[in-house]
Amino acid sequence: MFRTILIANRGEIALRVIRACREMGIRSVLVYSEADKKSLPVRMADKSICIGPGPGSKSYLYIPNILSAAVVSRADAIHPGYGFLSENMNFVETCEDLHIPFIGPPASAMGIMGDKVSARLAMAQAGLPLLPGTSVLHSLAEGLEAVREVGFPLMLKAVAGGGGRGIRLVKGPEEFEHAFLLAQNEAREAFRDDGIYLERYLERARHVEIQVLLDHHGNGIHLGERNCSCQRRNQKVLEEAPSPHLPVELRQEMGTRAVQAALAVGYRNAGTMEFLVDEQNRYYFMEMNTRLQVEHPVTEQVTTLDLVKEQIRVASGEPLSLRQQDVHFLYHAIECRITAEDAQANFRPQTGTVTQYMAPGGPGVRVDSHLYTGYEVPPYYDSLLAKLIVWGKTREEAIIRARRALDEFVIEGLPTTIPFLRRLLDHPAFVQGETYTRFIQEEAAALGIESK
Amino acid sequence: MYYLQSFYAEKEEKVTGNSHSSSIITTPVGERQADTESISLEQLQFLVHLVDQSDIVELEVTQNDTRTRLVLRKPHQSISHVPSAESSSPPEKASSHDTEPGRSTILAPCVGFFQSWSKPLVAVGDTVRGGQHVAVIRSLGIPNEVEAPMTGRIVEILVQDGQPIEYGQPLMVIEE
Repeated sequence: MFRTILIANRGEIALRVIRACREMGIRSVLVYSEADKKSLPVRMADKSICIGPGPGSKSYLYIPNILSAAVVSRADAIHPGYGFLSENMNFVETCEDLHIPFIGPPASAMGIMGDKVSARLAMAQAGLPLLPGTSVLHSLAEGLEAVREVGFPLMLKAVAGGGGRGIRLVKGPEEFEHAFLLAQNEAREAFRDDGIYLERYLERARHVEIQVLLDHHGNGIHLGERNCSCQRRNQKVLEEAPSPHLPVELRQEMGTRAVQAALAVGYRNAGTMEFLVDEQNRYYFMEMNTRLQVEHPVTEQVTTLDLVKEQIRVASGEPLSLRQQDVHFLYHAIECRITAEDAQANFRPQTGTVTQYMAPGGPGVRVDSHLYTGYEVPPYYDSLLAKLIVWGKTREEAIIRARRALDEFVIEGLPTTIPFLRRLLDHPAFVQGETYTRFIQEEAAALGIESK
Repeated sequence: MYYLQSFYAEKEEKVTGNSHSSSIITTPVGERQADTESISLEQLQFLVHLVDQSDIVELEVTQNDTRTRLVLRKPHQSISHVPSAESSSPPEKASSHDTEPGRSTILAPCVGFFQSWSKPLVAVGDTVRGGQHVAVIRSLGIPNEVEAPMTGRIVEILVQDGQPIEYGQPLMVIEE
């Protein structure tokens, strides 16, 4: 088992990993940027090392300083959190070169599943159903050729995109040419890769993802699904487990096949397979997230497992402590992502000082946050302030609890999405469990936000 | 059996605890004496004395089978490296960043170990040109040269040979 783990991340996820290390008796070393000097994880880590100035490219993404920090602190392993270097194949390979275990999948598996097109190919070979789509297209001519097979409406997706970026909806053939060229330009600017692929778009579909966990001994289990249909501009705002109206047999089938497919590409450690499920309960593989996800606490609450500890155990060579039949799903859990965005002003990200912070409590309430009263939110990073996770015996109880907890939550000093989330939890369609991926967009007025 | 897992003199940037003497952060220590499963009072006293009487800033002791970890850490102390007979300024001043006009603190541009295999490039009292290499920080085996930001005289060296360095760490004070 590792004695020291270097955490190459910040904010609430850094805190999450520090907590798991602390409970396992592992020394936590945190890297931090100058902008995060006064952050809560820096105070809580056993040791912290400054690795650069505020901007991510010079700190949390700057591999030489991070690896040097690992050497200087004699870390036995590196946990990348999510975002930043967590899905950077180059970083994983360099860790492998330096013989510092990376707590995540091997570079090869990350490479296959990180490239959206090769992932589709590999998953098709592994027998997972896919939506009609294409491989990489580099020219408009190729695109026009391909639309005949794919059909409309369709999604233009950047091959190098991720986290909701580089995605564009095309409703009909007349929009295609303009949208394709625009998408190529955007991809070239944002990701330095103008490769685009097409995928048929489902009008009413639910985003259902399967959490998998595989060790280095050939064992793999799934930990059920999460429904993440509540999205705004392809960014998740609320996640829950189990997915409402999903038959148990379908969960089992999706879970089993997800594990098999992950094994087929040599995947190890924790990962998530994303699917779309249509109104006839047909499911289609979309992409795989080769890292621990923001919404992992939802799965932790319904399975009572600590996913970060499992990641650490797997990475240190231990076999999985559970077989599939040992995994049970209790409770219904909901996570609300509270971000520093002004929902009234088109979710414009905000910075500022948290003048008052008080997290809710009581039964069935968990808060994963790096906030504290007086904390200055730095401008360089994502706007996630806190994750509120609630659970109850039933979905109804979880919803009531979420409303109660949001009403208790105090974050003053900057606008947050708490009022928006509160309205979402009151919306009849949400309460019925009838949410699908365009839900927030289409109900914008009722949710008190600008549409689009 | 115990063994010393990590033992290094380093400059602590973060103050843990609020006492001004040696602070002890420990896992629960059993009251049984001469027991291989827990640390005895004599052993503890010895370790505290060891840390107190030396340059050691942090001492970590681990027992493998019970995974007990004992960390003894001194609050923030600066280490003023004085290679020449010249005595340097009092400790408080050494740990401050450039407060005086005409003085500038040279900060580390990367993470690594302070020049551990070459002779010191400069000493207190030396005059250096702007751009001159005044230090080397070894990162992942690669030497990174640190340049003087301006022409001046080195008045203080704040770090020791072999010391772990973080980004932005004050290395030296230079006076125009």
